Amino acid sequence: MALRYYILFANYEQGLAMRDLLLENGIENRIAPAPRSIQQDLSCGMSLLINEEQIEAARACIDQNHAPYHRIAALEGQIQPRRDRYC
Amino acid sequence: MIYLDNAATTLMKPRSVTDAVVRAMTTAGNASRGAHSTSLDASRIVYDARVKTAQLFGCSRPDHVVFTCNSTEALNIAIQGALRPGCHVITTDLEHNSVLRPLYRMQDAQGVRLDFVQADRSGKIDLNAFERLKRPDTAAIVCTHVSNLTGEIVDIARIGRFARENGILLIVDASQSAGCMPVDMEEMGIDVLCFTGHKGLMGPQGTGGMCIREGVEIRPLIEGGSGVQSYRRRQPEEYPTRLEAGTMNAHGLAGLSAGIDFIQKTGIRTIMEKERSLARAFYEGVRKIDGVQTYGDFTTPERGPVVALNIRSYDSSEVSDALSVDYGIATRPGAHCAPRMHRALGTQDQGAVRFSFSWFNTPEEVEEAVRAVGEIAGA
Repeated sequence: MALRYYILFANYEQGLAMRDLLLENGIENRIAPAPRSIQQDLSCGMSLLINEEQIEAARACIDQNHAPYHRIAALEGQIQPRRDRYC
Repeated sequence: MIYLDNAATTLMKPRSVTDAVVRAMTTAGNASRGAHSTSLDASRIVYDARVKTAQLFGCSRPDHVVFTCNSTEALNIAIQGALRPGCHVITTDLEHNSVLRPLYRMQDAQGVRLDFVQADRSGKIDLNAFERLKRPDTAAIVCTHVSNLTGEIVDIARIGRFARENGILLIVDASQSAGCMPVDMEEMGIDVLCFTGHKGLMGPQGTGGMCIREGVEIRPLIEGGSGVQSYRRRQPEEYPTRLEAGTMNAHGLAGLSAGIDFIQKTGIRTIMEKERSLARAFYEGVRKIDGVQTYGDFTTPERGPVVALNIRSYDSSEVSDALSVDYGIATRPGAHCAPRMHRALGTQDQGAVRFSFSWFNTPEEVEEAVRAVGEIAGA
């Protein structure tokens, strides 16, 4: 299975603001539940899934705007990827 | 969408609920803040909601029904307002963070001593443990009625008898049972019943409250405008204003009132049987699917309308995402604000996918959910 890239947040407010920011900058993303295995204790249940090709653009956008987030994590998908839609 | 996240909040409400909220938003002034018609309309809405809530829960005093934003606020008021520094409290592994966090705060800040009745791997607790954990200074038991993770029903009536016999205050979290099954605080020996309005009671979010048995003293958590006794330096002593400060949510309470009307008209046992039937049909459908593990004790028909499961070692969040994106089925993955219960079940790392059912779900939706679980499991 392919790696999936998740942006993790301390709370939903950070996540929703980040989604708007990334979309405004042309970086596609999709809201998804944050996998338990990468949530750790400090992140919330919401994450943003982004394409591998857009990781660097996302990082640059985040840095430029000082957008708060918890971390970016990669995780191998476990279920057949019939749902790789970044809209 | 097939909405199966009713343990978080019910999405489908009776039309009468939304109508009542809209009507109140055009007619209700500020309750208990004057004698003009719109203020009186609001006061009537709030009063009616108190009377109906008291009737629903077997509370002998409608003026001992205190409204809050949700169960969490009610539980915080009850726990922080009833317990004294250094006292001993018994609670359980089944609790939601709305119970655990205020208790932990009291433990850290006020030296409250906690003991937990532990859950086994099926999420059940041994009721005899309350007797074993009791101490001479045990002041309260704080206990959920129904686990929000497994649907396990706790025998509150038995705990209530034990609490009464031993002079222990019993605070019950009815978040998952209110509106889904009969709850009678007199019959069950409950001293403080905390409930939310937006789940089984089918009301709007931002509504909830607590029913307080006569004679139980709870200190206010917040103080402020009450519309009465304005020259007193402190909050009025009488319930409900003792625990209600600031403008009441008359708009929301109009909806809650209509939700209770719907439940009373339909019959709470009728609602309970339908919801249980849906949950049971789902369980019977998924339990035979290779790779599916369910959590909780399904040997008894008396359960909350909740089924939590995992598929193989799949992360529960990824399963829930697949259900949402591929099948349009809304469920709740993760920890469900129930950390001790997940540890007891051994699902701390994987979480679980929770399917929870309401009056408005259908057998066809259950069939579709079973089919989706089967497809994801590769069956």
